[in-house]
Amino acid sequence: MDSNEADSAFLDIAANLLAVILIVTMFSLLATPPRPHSASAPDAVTDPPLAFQTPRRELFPPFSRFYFVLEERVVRWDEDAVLAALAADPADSGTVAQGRYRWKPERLPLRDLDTYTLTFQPDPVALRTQTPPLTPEQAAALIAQWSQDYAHTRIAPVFIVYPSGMEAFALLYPLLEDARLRLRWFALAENKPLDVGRFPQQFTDYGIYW
Amino acid sequence: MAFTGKRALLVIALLGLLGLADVLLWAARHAPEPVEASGTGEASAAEQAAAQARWEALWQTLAEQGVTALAPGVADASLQPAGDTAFMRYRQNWREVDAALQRRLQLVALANDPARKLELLAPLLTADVARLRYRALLEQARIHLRSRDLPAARLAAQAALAVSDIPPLWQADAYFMLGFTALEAQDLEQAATALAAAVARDPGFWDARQTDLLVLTRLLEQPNQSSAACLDRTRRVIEHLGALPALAQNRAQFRDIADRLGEIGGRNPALKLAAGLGRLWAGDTVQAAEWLHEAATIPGALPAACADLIRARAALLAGSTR
Repeated sequence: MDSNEADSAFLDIAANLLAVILIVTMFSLLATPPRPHSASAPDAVTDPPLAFQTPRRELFPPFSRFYFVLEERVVRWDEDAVLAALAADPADSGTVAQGRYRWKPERLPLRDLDTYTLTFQPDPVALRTQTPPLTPEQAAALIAQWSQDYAHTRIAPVFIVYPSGMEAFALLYPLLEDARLRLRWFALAENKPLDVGRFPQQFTDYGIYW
Repeated sequence: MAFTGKRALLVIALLGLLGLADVLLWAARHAPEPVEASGTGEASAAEQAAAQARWEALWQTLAEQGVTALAPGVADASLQPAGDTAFMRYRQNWREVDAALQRRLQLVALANDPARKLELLAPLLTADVARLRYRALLEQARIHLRSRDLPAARLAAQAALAVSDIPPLWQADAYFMLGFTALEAQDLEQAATALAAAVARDPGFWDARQTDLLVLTRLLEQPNQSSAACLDRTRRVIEHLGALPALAQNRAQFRDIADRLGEIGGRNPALKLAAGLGRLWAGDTVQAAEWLHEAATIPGALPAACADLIRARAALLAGSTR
């Protein structure tokens, strides 16, 4: 009887020990090794959780349609008028209904053949006359139009916001966000002109990226 | 308590189940390599031999000259070649150009409505001067791509490539657009072919290299690739990793690209190797050692011959970090 009890106790211990070993083996296979947090230099700061991501320029960006935001108005820039004037008149400066333009083409094509800059000085009086102050209904209609433009032709609005238009833009911006519209906006000091163009800095200056 | 027969059987059954669980877990960690993509035996062997020769040549070059060997040669060291066309990336591409035609192209650039752009561009598409005609077709392809009209973009890019006497450097843009179009259409193989052609013609083409890197990482994650393709793709990823920071004139790009590869690589030995290499070139030997060790040991789902070469190289590099 004593011998049987001794054998039984030994088997109990052996079986339990083997079970523990197998369970530990199973968990060790499941576990992943801890990730070390260190750097090659002892005094170096460990990897920050948020790395600086270099802004990515969109390779084939949407087309830009410019809007002046001033004195409670959102006025579309009549680019076609400038194009027509430039096509008709070889002079590098002129006047259209919305203001004055100065065309600065790259005469010697050091880079691409179509490199240019154009400065457009809007006439606030003309813009005020052309467009009434923005109402909520007009804002909703504009947002619907912009959404449609982007969906059909990938034309996205670019807002040039003057100080006198900042309040109106502040009211408009949440609506633009809610509509999940693709857009850019730039603040300009009073009476500063709009500068557009095609030049090398567009590919190295993060602030201009779409 | 007596050790009855029933109890003994219960214990034995439990131990057996635990042992089986351990065996299954061990088998899962050491899963067999996937079956290599099918192909004729001789063609596959020749392709594999050629791919392996290119693989060894890369490491030979790196051993002799370091990562600087992968930096593309640039004619003007002061210039960071950034731009959407070869004409924007590099200087002095044009000599005498008709002023009226140049002005027309500038007005195309000024216009922001795609229909208006195409209308202004139309006369230039049939210009007598081949290079101007090429530039106009390239612009047409670009306008269509910006509008996401992929078939029209593809046709315009192909028409551009059909123009004769165009320098290879200029052709890189058209190949890039074909590659981008294929990527948008989810045709990764076609995209990789076109982008490789773009990079071959313009080694300083940042956008083409970045896009090719994206395509190659996706291709490396796909099942049923041949060992030769796997090796070539891994090699090209490493070549891009070596070239991009030089083009950006920014060594921090080694780490940025490596981290991206490390994130998307998961348990892919090829991408882990590249990620470890990027960290090594960035000077972070600790993280490099970890990722290289992973590359040398994780099973992954790459073809056997390719995986063996990658793991061997990763083990060698991991050893060199100590």
